[in-house]
Amino acid sequence: MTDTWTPLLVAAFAGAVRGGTPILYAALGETLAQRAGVLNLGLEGVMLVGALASVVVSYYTGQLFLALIAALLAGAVFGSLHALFALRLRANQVVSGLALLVLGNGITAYLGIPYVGKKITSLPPVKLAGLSEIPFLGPVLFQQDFLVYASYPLVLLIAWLLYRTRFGLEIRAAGEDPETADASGAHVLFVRSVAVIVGGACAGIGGAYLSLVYAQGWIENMTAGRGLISVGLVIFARWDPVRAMWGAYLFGLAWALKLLLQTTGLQVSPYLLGMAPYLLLLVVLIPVGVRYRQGNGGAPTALGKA
Amino acid sequence: MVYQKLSLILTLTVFENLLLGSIGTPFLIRDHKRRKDASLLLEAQGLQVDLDTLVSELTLAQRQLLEIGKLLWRNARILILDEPTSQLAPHEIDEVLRTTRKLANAGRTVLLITHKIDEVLRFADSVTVLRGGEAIATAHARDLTRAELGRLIVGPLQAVPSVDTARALASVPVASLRSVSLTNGSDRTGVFDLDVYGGEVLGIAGVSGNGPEDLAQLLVGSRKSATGEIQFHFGVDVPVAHIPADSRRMGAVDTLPLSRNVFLREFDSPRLCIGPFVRLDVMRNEAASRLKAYGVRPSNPDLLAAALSGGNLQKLIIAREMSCGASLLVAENPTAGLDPASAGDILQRLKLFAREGPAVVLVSADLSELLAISDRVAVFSGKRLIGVERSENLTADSLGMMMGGIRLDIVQQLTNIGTNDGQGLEAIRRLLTSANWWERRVAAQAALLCPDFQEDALIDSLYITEQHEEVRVWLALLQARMRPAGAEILLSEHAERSPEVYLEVVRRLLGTTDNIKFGRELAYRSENPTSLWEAVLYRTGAALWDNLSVASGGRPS
Amino acid sequence: MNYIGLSKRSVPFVASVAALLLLGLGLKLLGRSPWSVYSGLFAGSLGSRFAIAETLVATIPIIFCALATAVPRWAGLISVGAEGALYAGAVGATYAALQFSHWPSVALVPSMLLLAACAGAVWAAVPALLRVFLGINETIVTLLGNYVAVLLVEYLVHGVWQDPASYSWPQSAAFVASAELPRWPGTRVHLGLAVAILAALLLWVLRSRTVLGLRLEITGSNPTAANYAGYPVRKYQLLVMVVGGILAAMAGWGQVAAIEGRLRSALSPGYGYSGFLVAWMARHHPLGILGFSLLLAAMLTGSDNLQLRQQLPAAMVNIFQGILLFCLLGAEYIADRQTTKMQVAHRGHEEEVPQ
Repeated sequence: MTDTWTPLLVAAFAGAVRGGTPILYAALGETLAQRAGVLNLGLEGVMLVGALASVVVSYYTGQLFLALIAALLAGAVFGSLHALFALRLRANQVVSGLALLVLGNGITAYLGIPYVGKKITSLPPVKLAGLSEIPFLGPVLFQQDFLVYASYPLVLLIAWLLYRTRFGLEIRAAGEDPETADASGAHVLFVRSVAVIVGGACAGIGGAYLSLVYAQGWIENMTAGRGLISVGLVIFARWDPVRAMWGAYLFGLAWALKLLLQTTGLQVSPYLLGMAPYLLLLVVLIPVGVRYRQGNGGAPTALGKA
Repeated sequence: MVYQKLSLILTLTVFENLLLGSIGTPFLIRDHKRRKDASLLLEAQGLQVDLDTLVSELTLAQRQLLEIGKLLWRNARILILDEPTSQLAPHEIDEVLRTTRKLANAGRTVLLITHKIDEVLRFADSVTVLRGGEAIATAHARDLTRAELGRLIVGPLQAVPSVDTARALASVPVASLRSVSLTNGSDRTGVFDLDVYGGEVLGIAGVSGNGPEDLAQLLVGSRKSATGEIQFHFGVDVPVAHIPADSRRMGAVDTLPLSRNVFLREFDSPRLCIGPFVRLDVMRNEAASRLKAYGVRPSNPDLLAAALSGGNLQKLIIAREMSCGASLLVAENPTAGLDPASAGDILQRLKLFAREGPAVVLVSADLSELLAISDRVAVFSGKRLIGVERSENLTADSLGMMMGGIRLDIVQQLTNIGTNDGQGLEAIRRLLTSANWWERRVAAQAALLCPDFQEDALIDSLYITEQHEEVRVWLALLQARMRPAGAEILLSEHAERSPEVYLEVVRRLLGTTDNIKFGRELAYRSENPTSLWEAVLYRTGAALWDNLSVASGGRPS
Repeated sequence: MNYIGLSKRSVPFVASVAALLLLGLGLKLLGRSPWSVYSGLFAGSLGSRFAIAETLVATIPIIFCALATAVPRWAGLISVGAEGALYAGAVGATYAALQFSHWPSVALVPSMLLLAACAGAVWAAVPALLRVFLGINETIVTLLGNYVAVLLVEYLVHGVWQDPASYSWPQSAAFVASAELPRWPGTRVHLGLAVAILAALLLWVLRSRTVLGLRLEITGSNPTAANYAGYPVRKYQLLVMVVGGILAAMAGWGQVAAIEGRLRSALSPGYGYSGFLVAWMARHHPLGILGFSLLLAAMLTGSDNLQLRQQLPAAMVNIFQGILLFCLLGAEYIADRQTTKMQVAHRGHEEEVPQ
């Protein structure tokens, strides 16, 4: 590897981690929800709400911690809206998710008008002493910001929750066979609701990452399909948090590539490049579909069913 | 409570299923002590599996045992088992019920809900008969005979489907299966031919998972055979009528009116159509009269199918399938879960339908039902066709043995062992060297039953060359009978290597606990076996126990 | 027994009223007068000849998009791809308009329609094939397609199709006069309305009176039963998706051929999603779609008027649609619960009848 390539690669992978982190947060939340058998297509709306909430709080208070809390709460509130309709009222999960998407989109566009272009306190990068010195990996993984660092243990935490705790067991049971889980004494409605609400909170943080780090301000509809990609990513990751992390970075790379190619001055239309993440998702879903053509490919059996 | 439909989550592991049902919630589920407890508990129920096995990989009997284990894990004092054996093969039934018997002996209360008289008489202490929502009688099981119990259950007005059994079998088959296979093709030995004739009811017997469902799927076209072909001797546009096993899910549309459900197959029939258009009023009227004719209640064609009870929905589906002009009707467990009156009505309609010319293929888990209305019965075991026999040549016992994989002629020969005319011994000798392992197995089993069979040298040489693990076990049992002194070592060697059901018997016999009680029970049971299987198992067991206890210093009183 | 409350038919009306009330409440909380908003909505949508005509104009793409959602749903599929197929149709029509600009109107207009339909069919075939053969969730793929379609149009109007005459405006060259659709004199209401109504009527007949329609109904309600009855379920699923794509493409065709007169990236303020909403309000019934499209179009045009007069932002429309969808789900829940109760009561009653 020559010296001219290394910095470029480092930039690309660091960009992938940055670009992938919001997707990762949303995908982790969606993994929880889908493992519990609930499809939340409205992640896009939830992320937007989280993004705006953190912008507003950061703008007025300058307190990043409060901004994150606000994003978390806003996401959880929207998550609970989905829980109310899709679970309590047994509505079609797809339609409820879409309603969430449209509503989140509308509300943030309306309430966000005063904050367009406003300067906010953004999340600064922090070099982790020692770790950031590791060649290659250091700048990629450990010269980022607080939310990126927080996402590493979160992946493990969610994996641990799902596979090693009783609550995780109940989540999986609720997603596989809610009737049996219920008969066995698990409170399916409760478990599913918690999964959806926590999932919403995660997506809210993902949105906050976009506004506090990525764009450092509010832009209408700034998620640009990331919520939807997170939903697809969960399928691609076969409902596993660790695989979701690699997937998220893959999509982060797709976004980073777009920016990177623009800076190198290559003559590729930004609109064609903009399609990359969406087409990438299609492309990665196909082998999954081919491989698991028989059966449901390990999807939670009761996914999407009331 | 163990429901008829198991409440296990197939995609989770054994241990996870256990935990899901437990009270007292630790946060961590990878707890070594709990895992050890779980293994011990399951082993005590006769379930020896790795805790991390997915439940979907267990056999039905193992799942049933796990279900019981789940209750015990929660420390249930009272176990309610709702038809726990309805899906199991005869030898599996014993395995499960013996476990529950042991639990009862250990002081727990077991409530066994079943419609099988055998199970009640063999395993229950007391029995309460329910009929039409009322408790008819309560008695000690040992005070009742089969006949008495049967009368109590059925009641004074016995509704036996009485159909004229005179038949006119068409000589031309409706469907011919040629060199087809129910497995995925690699196994050439499973290839068979089968003809289905017009005017007959062809029963399909076999334990669930052994082939009956696969055969039904072949006939209705939802599955392709890896080899051979199926010839239907009727037009390509004539449908194969089908009463699916899960009729509410597969056979009807709950959210649509009855009229649509009745004509689901025939929207394009000339009676209803003008070009691509359907005459809705004609459909409605015809649906109403058809619903009435088949006794569906309520018969209002505008009601949604969700408004029908199970029995009425089944009648609707039968009305539809019998009217769609098919020459072949495949019915899968059409009476499952229905009350006796509806079930009888449906069986009668199937029989009458066949008498009008079409062929009916009846897949059923209920042997008495198969024997009652079938003209012929095809028996499957291990996805192989064991034989096709006229139903008058069959009994529930012989049918049960065929479901275990033994051809009827062999069954009959073996049943004749006791008559000592040499024919039985000859059959055993021949079968012991058969190329099919299941025939060698049954021969070894029969040899165990037959005290005249004394060919030590043959058994010894066979034991050395035998490749099939299960047959080896039976040969080992034979050797143990010949040489009781070394039996324990010989058998324990097998006990470690083979997970087979029969080993369970051996293991318990040779185990140090409960020897006396179990031996006594076996001795008692061997006096009143209800099938050849049991006779083999019990007598072998009792004899072994005798030998061993003699070897170790006399039989305890 | 009598049940007082929501009947299934009244669900969308109750939901609409509830959504309007909720919207008003929200506005009140934000310090605006709900009454002026309501009256502004009315004035802007039905208050004048012009307003009514504009409402009808907005109705056209909504009908197409709603039908494009409803038809796949007949076979049990949930497609949200109307927005994307609308853009694809617009691209198809534009291609014809730019390539065959020398053709006379009688040839050019149908060829635009045909190419738009082809583009919509191809567009919808992608999620359809992925769904039918690989089991990939059609809702996710159609949503993805929406993003891609907009970017595709952006690419075209910024690149190869950019109008040299309009400097750096991202739009194609204006269509020739012969490409324009006939209109109702003095308004922007165009031929597309007739096509949309005709399509809805045809689909209604197909749905309720033909063998294919009845079979689709079965397929959509219970695919397993359809499979067992020997229906070609996969073929049906492909068919409805492609037909849905063609219908949504018609909306794009109408927009470029009659309203914009050229291809632009901001062709649709979310007609695809409005269509989705309408389809669910109408329970995927073609005639119901005609009615509810008009209702929603009135809301959209009315709020356009509000934007101009009262400086209410365009996002109001999305907020209203989101609320309306939720209200619809809520009202459906209430109605469903009553029907279930009635059915259970009914079933119980019948079984008491002695045999």
